Amino acid sequence: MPERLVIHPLNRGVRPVKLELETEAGRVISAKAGTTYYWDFENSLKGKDPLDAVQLTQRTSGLDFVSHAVAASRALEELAAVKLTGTAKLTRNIFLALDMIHGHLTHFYQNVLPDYIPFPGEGPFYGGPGDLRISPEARNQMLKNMWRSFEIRRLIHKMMAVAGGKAPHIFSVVFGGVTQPATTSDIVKMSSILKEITLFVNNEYSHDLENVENAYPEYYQIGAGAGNFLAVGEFPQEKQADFLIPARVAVDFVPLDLERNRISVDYTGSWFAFPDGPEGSPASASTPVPGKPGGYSWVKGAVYDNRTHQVGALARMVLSGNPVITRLGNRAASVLGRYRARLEESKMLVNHITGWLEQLEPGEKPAKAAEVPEEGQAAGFAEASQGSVAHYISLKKGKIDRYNVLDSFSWNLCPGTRGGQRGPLEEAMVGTAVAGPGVPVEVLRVARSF
Amino acid sequence: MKAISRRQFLKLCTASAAAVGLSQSWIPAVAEAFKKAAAGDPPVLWIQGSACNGCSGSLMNTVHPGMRELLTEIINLSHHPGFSSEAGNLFTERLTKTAGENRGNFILVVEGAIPQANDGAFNLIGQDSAGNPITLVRLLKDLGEKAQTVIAVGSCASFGGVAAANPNPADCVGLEKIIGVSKVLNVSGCPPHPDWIVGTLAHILLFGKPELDDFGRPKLFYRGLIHDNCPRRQYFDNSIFARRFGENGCLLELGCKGPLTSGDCPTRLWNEASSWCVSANAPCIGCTDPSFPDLTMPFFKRMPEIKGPGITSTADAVGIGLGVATAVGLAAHLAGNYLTGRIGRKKQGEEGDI
Amino acid sequence: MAKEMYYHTLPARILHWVNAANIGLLTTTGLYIRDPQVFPFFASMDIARKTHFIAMYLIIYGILIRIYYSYVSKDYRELLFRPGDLRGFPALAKYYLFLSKELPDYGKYNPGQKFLYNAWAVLIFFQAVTGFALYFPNASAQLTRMLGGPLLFRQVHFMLTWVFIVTVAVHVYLSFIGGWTVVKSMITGYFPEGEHMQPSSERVGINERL
Repeated sequence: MPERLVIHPLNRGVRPVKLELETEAGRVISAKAGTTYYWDFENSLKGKDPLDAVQLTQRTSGLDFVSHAVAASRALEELAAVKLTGTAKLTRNIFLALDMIHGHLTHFYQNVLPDYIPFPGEGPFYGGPGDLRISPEARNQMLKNMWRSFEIRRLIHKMMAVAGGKAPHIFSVVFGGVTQPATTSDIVKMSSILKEITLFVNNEYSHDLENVENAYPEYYQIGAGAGNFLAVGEFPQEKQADFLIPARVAVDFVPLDLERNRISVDYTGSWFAFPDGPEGSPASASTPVPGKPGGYSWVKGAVYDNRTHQVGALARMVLSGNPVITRLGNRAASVLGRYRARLEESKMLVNHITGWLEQLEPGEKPAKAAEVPEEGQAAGFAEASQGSVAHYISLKKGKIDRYNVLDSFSWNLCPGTRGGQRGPLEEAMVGTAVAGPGVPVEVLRVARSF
Repeated sequence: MKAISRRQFLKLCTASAAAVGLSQSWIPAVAEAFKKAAAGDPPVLWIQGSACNGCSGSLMNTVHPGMRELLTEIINLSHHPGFSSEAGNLFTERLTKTAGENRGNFILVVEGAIPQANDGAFNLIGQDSAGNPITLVRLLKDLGEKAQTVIAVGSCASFGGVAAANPNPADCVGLEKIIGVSKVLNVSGCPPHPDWIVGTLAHILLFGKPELDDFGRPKLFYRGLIHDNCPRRQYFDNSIFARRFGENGCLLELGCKGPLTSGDCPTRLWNEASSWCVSANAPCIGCTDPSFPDLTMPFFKRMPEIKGPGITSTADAVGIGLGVATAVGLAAHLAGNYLTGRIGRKKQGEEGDI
Repeated sequence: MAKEMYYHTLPARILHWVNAANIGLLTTTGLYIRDPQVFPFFASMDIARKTHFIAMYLIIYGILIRIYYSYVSKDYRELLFRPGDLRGFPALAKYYLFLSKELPDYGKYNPGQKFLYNAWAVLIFFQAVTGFALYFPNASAQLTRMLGGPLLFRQVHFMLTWVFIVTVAVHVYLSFIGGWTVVKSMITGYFPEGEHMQPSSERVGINERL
């Protein structure tokens, strides 16, 4: 006889999530995960100036805002056929990478750690789950680093602000490039801040994850899910077509090149409907339908070849062939694998930022003068700490006619599809062994690993 | 006894802005005063509504006090969805329990707008022990009544902001539409500066409610216009305007909303006084304004376009078009005057008579 | 020589030219403030704005004094546009479209003039409201947002400026085709008795001539 278990809210994520599970004989046999709050303002872009999208869509996420600014700009630049200057490309890469590291630190220290170490009476961190194995010495060190992570995240935003105006919600990313040219003093300032960030990532963050890995090795076997991964490609290099992280998909760990037109949306489990336009096209407009039969989430489900795919650091590291993640083999698709991928990506990115800062040439024009055409359709893609971001825009008479944003939630929290498939997070929870009664910490760890 | 007077505190909050922001002048006296004020320990309950959570993200950029000092020594943050170890029923039950125990004594901080449509179905923040969903709007009505003070952090919580942008299918509103206006302090911005959040909290803890402007925002931080204190004011006065992204100069022609927006960004600066929007050659988008974003769009144009039946045009085009049409019309009329002999010809006729 | 009659009193003439100068200044500075590159009439924004801010008070005083003077001098009897004046419009339109030879005798001012001069007072009121809302953004903040936001005010203020430019241009044009006597009357105050303010045609219709 299956037992029903509802966890609502699953907090500490960017959006609160409702988990509905069925357990039998100490294992999760079915799982549903949906967000219970509507956050979709693309329809308010209708009739607006195309350039406004770059600012407004950043408000999709207070954590992954840079990716939205960049994706919106890229969609417009595709329409106008603008080729970015070197400064613009490098500056955007730096912002995107910093935002990813910021997201990874937030994820590990704010979302993940409280499931492994108790927070004794300090501030809002109350309570603590069961199954605590980390030694008191290591725990103290991790607590110290948790506080330190606030400072590092602050420094990351500061570094973004030096070249980007302010953070959260960055201002220098605009259609045609960036607004601020690189100056020597900015580069020096950023390099200096980066040193501190690098040290923290390579030492503290790395050690803390090792502590978790050593104490909870079985979590390399928990929370696997299907081995489907997707990345839209990020960090354009010198040549226009080259990406540091390639645009690829993998089904059961077999990677292929991504074909963008195979991305579609599936609102079977979403509280959304298509008022007009072809059903399933990500470029179609959508309207909210609260209480829609069969719906259980405010996430707009996204699929590739009608299959759900996991996005995020793990997907990117698998698809770009990161040596550490590759060595893990199929174990990479696991709770610890996801933590590890975020760390490996952070380590890789701090190195690349150093390189990009060196390549920045003071005095080069930061933005190209160009006009957005009056009519057209385009899509802009970007990667964020949580996963891929896609913006679909269509213009009519110089104004936005339709706008649609798919972010990491659309992929990782894709609600059940037409074909009866589960989303990656749901898939990962199924099969998880649940130890005791009450809120099972194992499930929380799996759910928060995305 | 307070270790610091209100006057001193206000001076620190505003005058210091010219130097490096509240953050840097967070002198030990203030910290001391805080500890004394916090002895009464009014718990702070932070609720996230329909928001992108950028406001919490901005709060974390606070320096002097840093997050650790703020959370462990200054404010008694009893509830925050981003930090709590608990999930599910435990999480919501704890929240209602804390609110019940501290009735009339806690500070409620809300980030994000409140959707009212379909009885609040657009935002369910969790469920109670019986498994019934709790809507955000119901929760806030309840908590708002019990709270001593309510702070709306960010433009969404204050005025609806991005969440309430047209067409607003979820019928999102700001907090003052849910809870009485008199109880709510608005700390608008998208997101607000950490100093604005911390400074407002500080003022409440130390001296009670700060003086508010027409829109319920602490005058301490929202008194001046961005444009009046802009470091690029000289460019404006000398008519040096940036026409393209990436150019230096006054950003008015690129849509800067500084002349219409209140806030101390130009003097306080953002992210540890590193920079701010205009310093990065990016126009102000008016994010602290109650009319953000609907009425401050287009962000990158100085004036909205004129929409008529079947036509959209810029005000400049209409104006210049009118001017040209008039010139053509008058020239045609002048020609008519000649042709009908109203002017010019008459004199010839008179000469002919002689 | 025809007998000259005293047509415009001294206060009326002074107020006319003061208001004209202010409207001229407000328009040119206004255009400059809108875009100094397209309308490069002044040396700097600072000068243009200060001029604008001085002239804006002067025009308000000017209009108020003109209304007051109109009341004490009783010239509102000939200046005030009344609904009955609408009846005069068809004949006026006929004349200006060259469909009739002469302007009917309307008295001192024709309905078009009355309408225009009255409309200017109303327009200036709207310019003052929108202008002050932009000038004191905080004082009028609530009201401004309720009425559609400061950007809309900026747009309306700018569009009304063009209404001024167009109507003033028509006014100046019609005064000049009236001839030197008409222009002179606003300077000296005297206008030859029996002469018309607007010229009459030799024949009706343009086509006849062609």
